[in-house]
Amino acid sequence: MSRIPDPIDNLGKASDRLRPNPEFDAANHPFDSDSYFVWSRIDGVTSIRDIILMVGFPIDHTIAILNQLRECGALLLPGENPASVIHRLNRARAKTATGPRRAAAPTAERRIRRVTGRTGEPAKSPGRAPTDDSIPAVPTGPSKPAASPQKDSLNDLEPLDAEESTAMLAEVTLSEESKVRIIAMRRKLRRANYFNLLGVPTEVDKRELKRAYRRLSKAFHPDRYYGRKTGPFGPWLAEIFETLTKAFDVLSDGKMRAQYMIAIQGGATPARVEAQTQTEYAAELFERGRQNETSGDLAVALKLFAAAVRLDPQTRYLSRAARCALAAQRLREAEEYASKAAELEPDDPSILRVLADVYRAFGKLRHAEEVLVSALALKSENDVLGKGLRTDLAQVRAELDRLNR
Amino acid sequence: MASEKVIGIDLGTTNSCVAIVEDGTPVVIPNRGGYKTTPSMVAIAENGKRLVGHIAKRQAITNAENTVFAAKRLIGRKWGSTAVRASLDTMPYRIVEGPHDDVRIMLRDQVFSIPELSAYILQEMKIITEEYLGDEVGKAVITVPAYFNDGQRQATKDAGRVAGVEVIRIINEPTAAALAYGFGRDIERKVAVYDLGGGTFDISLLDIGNGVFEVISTAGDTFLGGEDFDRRIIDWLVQEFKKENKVDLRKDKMALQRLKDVAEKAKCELSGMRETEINLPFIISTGRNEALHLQTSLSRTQLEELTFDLVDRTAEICAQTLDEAGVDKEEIEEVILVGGMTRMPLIQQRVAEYFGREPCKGVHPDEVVALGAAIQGSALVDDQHDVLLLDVTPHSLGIMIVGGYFHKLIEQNTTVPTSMSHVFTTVKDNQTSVKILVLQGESERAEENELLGEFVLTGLRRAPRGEVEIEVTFHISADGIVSVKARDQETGLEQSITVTATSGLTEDEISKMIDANKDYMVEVKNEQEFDKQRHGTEKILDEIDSLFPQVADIISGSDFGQDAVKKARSVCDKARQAIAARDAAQLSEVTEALNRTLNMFKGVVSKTRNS
Repeated sequence: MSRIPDPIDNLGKASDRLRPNPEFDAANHPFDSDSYFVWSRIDGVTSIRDIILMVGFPIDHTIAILNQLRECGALLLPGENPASVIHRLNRARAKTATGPRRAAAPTAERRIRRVTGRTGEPAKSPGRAPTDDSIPAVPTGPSKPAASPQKDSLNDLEPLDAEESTAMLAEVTLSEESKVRIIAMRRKLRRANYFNLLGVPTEVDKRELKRAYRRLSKAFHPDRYYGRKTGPFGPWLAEIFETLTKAFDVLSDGKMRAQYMIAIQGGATPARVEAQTQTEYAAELFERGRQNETSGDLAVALKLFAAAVRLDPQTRYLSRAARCALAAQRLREAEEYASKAAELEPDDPSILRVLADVYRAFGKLRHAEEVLVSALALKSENDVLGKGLRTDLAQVRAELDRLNR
Repeated sequence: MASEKVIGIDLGTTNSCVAIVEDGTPVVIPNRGGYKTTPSMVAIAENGKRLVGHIAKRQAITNAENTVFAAKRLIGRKWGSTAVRASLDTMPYRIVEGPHDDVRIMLRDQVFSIPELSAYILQEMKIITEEYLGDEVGKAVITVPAYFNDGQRQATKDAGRVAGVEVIRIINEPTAAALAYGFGRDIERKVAVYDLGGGTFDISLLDIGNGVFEVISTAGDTFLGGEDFDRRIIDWLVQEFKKENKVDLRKDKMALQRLKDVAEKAKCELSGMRETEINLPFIISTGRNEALHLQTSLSRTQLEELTFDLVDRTAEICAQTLDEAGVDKEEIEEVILVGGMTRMPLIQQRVAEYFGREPCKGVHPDEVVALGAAIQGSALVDDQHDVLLLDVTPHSLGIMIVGGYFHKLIEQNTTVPTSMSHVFTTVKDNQTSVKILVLQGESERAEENELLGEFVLTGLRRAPRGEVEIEVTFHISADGIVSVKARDQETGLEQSITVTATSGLTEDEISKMIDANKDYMVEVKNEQEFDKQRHGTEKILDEIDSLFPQVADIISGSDFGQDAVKKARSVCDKARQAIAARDAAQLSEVTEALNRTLNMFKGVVSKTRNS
């Protein structure tokens, strides 16, 4: 594979760090997804070299995108300030002699498209997606002798930490490119926010978000390396994929995303993004009740359960409350909860079992027997529960027999 | 290096199907009879021979108690489970208790485990493929219903091992169907897979795009399937017959079996026709030397009246699943129908009504699952493949906490691989050890869930309760393997296990089964070879016999001739003895002499003719 040039034309040293231009408005620049992806990696911390490695595109494709991004003012080189870039852009606008605000965006758009059009070709070579672990070879063709890829790729990642060095030496059946990409991505996990990790702008829509997640999943899902010896890279792949999934889940849920935005912008944890709904409050009460029950505070737990049930009388809360009341020897309450739950969900054998337990505690064995028999008549895939019900029924019947005698 | 071939097997309750990806295209492989599906039936014949597939089905009526069908209902089940209890009464074969609370089947005084019987079917599918490819296959992806628990999945894997195939992945049937549907198509949409099979109903929602197949949710009813439709027809037939003849057909097992066959046939026919005749002569004898016949007709409308509530129930489950997954009906852009039952016009109509769109006609309901399995197999081993399946865990996982409750750590329908940690505290003062019970299921009560494994973390610091913190981490790998780790936050002491569900078989039993199966296959192969050899020898013997009188006439005049005739006779006798004794070694020994004799005879005859 080709080496990352150093220095890089128009951009400076490979170890330089690019910053996003705060004045730049991405919404006015309809980039294609590759450009977005590259742009999202620019965080002022990651070096140009790391960015090139991380995105996994052919090197000169990435460099071309970076150049275009710079030309339309999306990023800043070290030492540059937003004002100077805007100044440069204004000069360009003046040259085109059209209205300044209109001209800038189309120019950038056209250029970016041209770039992807050109370098898109080698990436399309048979069966090779751009994010494939077999990074397409040098677009300049086979005439250029392949330099020792090991050394070059490794150099691009230097310095490696102890864990990474050990991993690079481990006996695995992964290409050097794959190793380097996994390490680069793993580093990203530590630093990047979810948007950067997925390579999407903060205002990304659901569709683009999904696409980004899928593209990265294809590159980092452990199945991608099925059957290979992955050594320490195996768990890293799992870690990367799991974090990607987490990021995707958070960002694709409107509410969680809003909270997350506040968290990464303000740094503080959001107190409450919007008013809690009644069911959410019930869930919170129930959760607190569970904690109290676990720590043995049954009275408090029951109070919380009662409140939760009042707000949201769902069977899960009811049956738990019934169990708790049973444990606290408050049989009246237990019966109330259990029968209400059984009323709501007469087809759930697990809930009927709670009711039967309550009847047993009361000594209403006939009732218990009846409930258990109807619970056993219900279809259930849960074999363990079926067994439990049969044991209960046998006990109840034995008890009845004893009393009759 | 060409990547290794992986077959995809749909191991069904009633039929099985095998597929492979060839030159980038998934294809179903027909069996020797030219059928694309093979009955999931195994029988032991009177001579102790194993019969699988169509051959087993053909002799099922005359050998009912030694013919196993629907073994899938029993695989990985506990002896006391509801499914097993139900089968005890309805299956003609003998189901017995296994040594590990599992299930075995007794056929001609021999006890078979369910994975073993399933292995015979898998092996048949493997052989079908090998004959088709002219090459050995060693790896397979097998599909199972979405609701299968870890024990059932493990048992299916064990079956693969006994059959001599490495099961590289188990995937859910509806997921496989979606893979086959979306493979090679540049689509970006949400789809629903409506899978109504012989015994169960499954509904899965998937999000497909850019070659990634993401399972959103999967649910169903494990007691709703084609057999319920059959039962409605049987009930109707029994009732009508009773009205007319005052005789209850249910009391006669044989009659019931015939009713079952005819009901299924009628149901299938009514998918294509508006009305069908049902004809069962001599269905029952009245005891006064006269027999009653059942003759009636059933129309499609009648069938629909008998079963519309079952169809409604599937629509209800669809609504519930969409609701739980937070997906709107309008978001579903395609509905894929899987399973033979979906041929029923009422079902297609009801599905179209519910989803507000015609279901997809582009997939074959019987073959699509095997095709999907083959695609997943090829996606795993072939680097060039552009398909990725993001599967979910079918059941929730967690541990038992104080009070006997089940604390879920990983919810069902979570994309794998995944991990989740939770910090628990001690519940007693000076507690120095903690027992971690790993459970799988959906019930709040720990004891109502499947116990997957347990371990103990010891050496905790003596402290008042609630002070010592233990972090429990669950991890599920991409191939569904669960590992659990417990860690004392203070001391860093760690304890972990990899959970393997039990299939009802011990490692020792499995390796014995593998050996027994290998031996059996060697025997079968030897027999086949012997028969081939015998066939050749018999042909030579026939030829010699036909030449004998002529040759004897010509040469028996001389001493030398008499000697030669005697020798020829003894060679032929020896060959016949070898055939009778099925002695392959002796047969090959004598074949050369036999050939020489034939050549000599031919020589003698032609010489005489020429002179």
